[in-house]
Amino acid sequence: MFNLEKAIKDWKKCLRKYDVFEDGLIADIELHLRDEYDAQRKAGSDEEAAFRAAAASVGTAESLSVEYHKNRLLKLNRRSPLRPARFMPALLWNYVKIVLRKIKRQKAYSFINIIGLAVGMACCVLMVLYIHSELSFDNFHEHADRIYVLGANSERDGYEFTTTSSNATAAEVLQNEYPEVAQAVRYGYKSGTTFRYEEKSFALDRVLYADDNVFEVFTWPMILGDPGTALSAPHTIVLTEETAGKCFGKANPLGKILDFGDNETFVVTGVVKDVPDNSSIDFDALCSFKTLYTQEPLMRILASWLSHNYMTYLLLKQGVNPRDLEQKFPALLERFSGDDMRARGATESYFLHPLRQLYLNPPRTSRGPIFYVYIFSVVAVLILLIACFNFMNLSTARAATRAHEVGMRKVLGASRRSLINQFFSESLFFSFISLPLAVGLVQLMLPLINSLTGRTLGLKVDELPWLVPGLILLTFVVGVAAGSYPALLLSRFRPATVLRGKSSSARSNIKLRRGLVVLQFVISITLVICTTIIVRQLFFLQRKDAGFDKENVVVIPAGSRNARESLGVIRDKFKKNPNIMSVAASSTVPGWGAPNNIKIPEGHTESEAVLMDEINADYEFVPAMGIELASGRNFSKEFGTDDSASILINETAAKQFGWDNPLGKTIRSLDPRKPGDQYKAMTVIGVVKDFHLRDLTRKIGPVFISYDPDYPIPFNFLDVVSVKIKPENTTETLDFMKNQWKNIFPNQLFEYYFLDDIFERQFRQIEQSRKIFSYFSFLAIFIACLGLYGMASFSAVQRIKEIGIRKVLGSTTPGIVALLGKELVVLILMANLAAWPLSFLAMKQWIRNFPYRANIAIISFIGSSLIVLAIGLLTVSYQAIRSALASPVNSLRHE
Amino acid sequence: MVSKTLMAASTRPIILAILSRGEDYGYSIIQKVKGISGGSLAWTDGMLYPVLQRMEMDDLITSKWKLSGETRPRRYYAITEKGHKELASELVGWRNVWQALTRLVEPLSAEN
Repeated sequence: MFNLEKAIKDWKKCLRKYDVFEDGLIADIELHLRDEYDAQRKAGSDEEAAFRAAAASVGTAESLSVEYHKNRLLKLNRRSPLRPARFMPALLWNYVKIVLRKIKRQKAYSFINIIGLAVGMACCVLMVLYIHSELSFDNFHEHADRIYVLGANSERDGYEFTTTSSNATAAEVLQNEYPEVAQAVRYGYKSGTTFRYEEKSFALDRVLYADDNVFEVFTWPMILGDPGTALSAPHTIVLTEETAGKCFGKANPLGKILDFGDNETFVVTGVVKDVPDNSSIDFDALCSFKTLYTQEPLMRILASWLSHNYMTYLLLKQGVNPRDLEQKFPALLERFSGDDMRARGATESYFLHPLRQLYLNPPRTSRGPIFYVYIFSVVAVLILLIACFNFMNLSTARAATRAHEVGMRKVLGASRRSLINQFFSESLFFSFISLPLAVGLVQLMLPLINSLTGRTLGLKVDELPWLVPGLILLTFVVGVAAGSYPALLLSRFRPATVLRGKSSSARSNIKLRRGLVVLQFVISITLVICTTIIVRQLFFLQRKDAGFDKENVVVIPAGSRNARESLGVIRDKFKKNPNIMSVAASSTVPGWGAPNNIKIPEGHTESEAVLMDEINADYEFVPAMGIELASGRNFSKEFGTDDSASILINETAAKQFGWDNPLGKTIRSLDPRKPGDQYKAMTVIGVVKDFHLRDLTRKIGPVFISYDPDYPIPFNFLDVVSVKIKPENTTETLDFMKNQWKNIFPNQLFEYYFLDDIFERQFRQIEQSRKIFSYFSFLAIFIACLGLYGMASFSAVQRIKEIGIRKVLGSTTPGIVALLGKELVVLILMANLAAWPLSFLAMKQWIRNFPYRANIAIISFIGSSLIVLAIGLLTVSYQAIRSALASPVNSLRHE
Repeated sequence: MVSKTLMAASTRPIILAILSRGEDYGYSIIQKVKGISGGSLAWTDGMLYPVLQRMEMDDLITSKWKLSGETRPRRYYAITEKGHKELASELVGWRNVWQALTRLVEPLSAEN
C-alpha cells in the first residue's frame, strides 16, 4: 500500500544528504511536490504514479544541490545586513569574561598553562638576547664591513695549521703597494703587563701593541688625547677609561710615565672608552707598535716573513672585493719568502677573513661559537614547543567539557569563524598574561646566564629597539601556535552531536595528545642524555692523568728582569720555610701552553724539521711539577753543560722521531743569540713521561725542554716561579712567600695562582655547556611534567567512575595506581625509541672533537631514561594515588 | 523546443515579467510559464527554486510566507524596484536581439 507521507519522508532524507539543503529550502520544494502531486491526482494518476511524476518534475537532489551550492558560494562573498559584524566589542568582552571566569575556576589548569608558556617564552627571550650578543660581535666598528684580518694556511714539517696571525712586514707592503688597501694595522701582545707609577704597582690583563693608525681603522672612541698622534712615537701608551680610573683616579693621566720594568717606560698619550664586551679584540692599554723596533733582539723576528707573531688587519677601500685581493697574495709571498719556503719545504698561502666573523666563525677551528649558537637556539625553540604542546594538550583534553559551550554558541548563531576567533583570543590572552611573567623570569635568570656566558646581557630597551616589538610578536606567535589546534578542533564540533553528549573526535584527540606527550618526552630525554654524556666526558677529562702533579703548586708570574736575576735570592729565601719543597723557574707551566719552534732532530734533514713545544726551565722544574722521568736524568747543577747544551724531550717526541734510545741524540735548535738562521745542537739527556702542556682537548705533541738562563729578552725565560708547597698550613706559607717577595721587590705586586686552578680553566667551556644543558634539561622536564600533571589530574577526574567501579569489583589500590601509571610508562618507552638514536648521533658529533674521550656508554641512555621515567611517574603518582584512595561511595553516588 | 542556453538566459526576465503582474508562489509561476509558452518552455520544476533564491540574493525580488485561504502555507515572491528596472532593461535587450535577428533573416531588398 502506497503511503504518501512515508514516500515524502524518504524523498526528504535524500535531500538531507546534501548539506546545502537548509530546512527552509526543503520546505519550498516539498510544497511544490505536494502541489504537483495534487495536480497529477486530479489528472487521474494513481497515488504512486502521481508521486513519481511529481518527484521527477522537481528534479534530482544532486542537480538541485549543485545550483544551491553555487548560490551559497556567492553568498559567502556578500554580507547580508542580518549577519553579525566582523568585529563586535561586546562579544570580545564576552570572550575575556569567559577566560577570566575559566582562570578563576580552573586554577591548576590555568597555572600550568601560564607558567609553562612563561618559562618557554623566557628561555626563548634569553636565547635571543644571547644570540644577538654573539651575532653583534665587532659590529660597533664604523668600518666593520671593510675590515679583514690577514690569515695564513701553512704547512711546515708535515704539520698543517691555519692562523690569523702574520708577520710584521706584510702590513707595510700591503698598505704601500696595493691600491685596494686603504689602511693596514698591526696588533701584537705585550708580555709584561705589570707597571709601576709613583711607588704603586698595577697589573693589567692585556696590553697590545698597535700601529698609530689604529684609531682610523677601528672605532675606539678617544676621550683624552689626539687619535692622530697618540701612538705615533715609540714608548707611548693609550689607556682605557677603566685602566686610567684605576691608576690615576680623577687626575688627568696624560703625560704620566708608567714604568714597566726592564728599563721600559711609556708615556700616557690618550684615554679611550672601554672595550665593549662584544669585541674580539680586547685590551686594557695600547702601546705604540714602533716601540718594538727599539728592541734589538726583536729585529730579526720583525723582519722575518715566516714568523706568525702579530695580527694584521686591513681596511679595504670601498667596493673592493676581498677575493680579488686574495688573488694577488701568492705573488706577494713568492716575492718575499719564496726562496725561504722552498729551502724549508714549507708552503704558505694568505687569505682574508672578515672581522665580523672573526669571533663567531674563526678560520682556525672547525667549530666556533656559532656552533653553540645553533645548538642553543634549537634547544630554546624545543622548550618553547614543549610549552605550546602543553597548552594544546590541556586544551584538547578539556575539549569535552567545552563541547556544550561550543554547541550552545553555534545554536545561538555563532559561525565557525567566530568560534575560532574566540579560542584564538583565549590562547592569546594566556600568552599575554604569561608575557610579564616571562619578562620577570628573564630578569631573574639574567645574572645566572651572564655569569655562565661572561656577557652582560640585559633587557636594554634603549639599546635594542626591536626588543619590545619582538616580545609582542613572540607572544603573538606563541598564542597562535598554542591555540591553533584547540581552536580548529573545538570549533568543528557539530551542535547536534555535542548537545546530545557525544564527542565525535574523542579518539583522534587521545591519539594526538599521546603523540604530543611522546614528543615532549623525546625532547626531555634527549636533553638529559646529552647532559649526562657531557658530564661523563668532563669527569673523564678531569680524572685523566695529566702527567704531572697539579696539587699544591703556587705559580708566581715574575715578568721582569729584576725577578729573573734575583731568582737565586728568591729560592734561598723561600726555601727557609720548611713547608716549601721546591722552587722552580720556567718559561711556562702546564695548562698555559708553550710556543712551538722549529727543531731538527738527529737523522733529519733541514727540510724534515719538526715543530716542538718549547719550554725553558731550570733543574727544579721537573720535580716541582711531579713530571716523571722515563729514562736518563734531569738537569743538574753538577753538570756544567746542562745550561747551554742539554735538553729533555717527552716520550711522544722520541716516538715521533723513531728513537728507541734517545739519550745522547742531538736536536738542532735556532740560536736566538746568533743572527740569521743559525742552529745549535743540543743533546738529549733525559726523556720525561708525556704530560699535558696544553689543555686536554688537544693531543700531546713533542716537547723540548731546555735550560738556558741567558736566553735573551724579550723571549720569556724563567718568567714564572713555581713553588711546590706542603698541603698543610697553606695560608701561612702563602703569607710567608708574600712577605719575602715584598722584601726582595718592594715595588712589585705579588700575584699568584694555583696550578690546579690554571689547569681547571680549560674545562670552562665544557663546564659552561654542561651547565646550560643541565638548566635546559631541567626546564624541559619541568614544563613537560607540568603538562603531565595537568593531564593526569584531568584523566583522574574523567575516570573517577571507572575507578570507583573497579574498586567495588575488588581492585586493590596498587592495582589502580599501576593502571593509571601504565599508560605513561608506555609513552615514555616510546619516546626513548626516538630519543636514544637522536642523542647518540648528536653527541657522537660533539665528542668527536676531543682526542681523549669517554665512551658513549649505554648506561647514560638507560640512566637518563630511568630518571625521566621516575620523574614522570612521580608526577602522575600523586593524582593516581589520590584517585585510587578515593572512596567509591563518593564517586558512584550520582549513578 | 527552446534550447537549454536560451532557456537559462530567459528564466530571470520571464520570472520578473510574471511577478510584475502581481506576487506569486513557485508552483504557480511554473504553471504560468507552461501555460503561456504552450509547453515549449519546459523547465525542470525544482530548478526554479535555486533561481528564485539567487534573485532574492540579488535584491530583484523579495519573499514572505503566507497562508492565503488554503491549507498550505506558501512562499510568495514579489518584484522589487530594482527588479522592475532589471525587467525594463532586459526587455529592451531582448527586443534589440529580436529586431536584429528578424532583420537578418528577411529577404535582401533591391537597393542592397
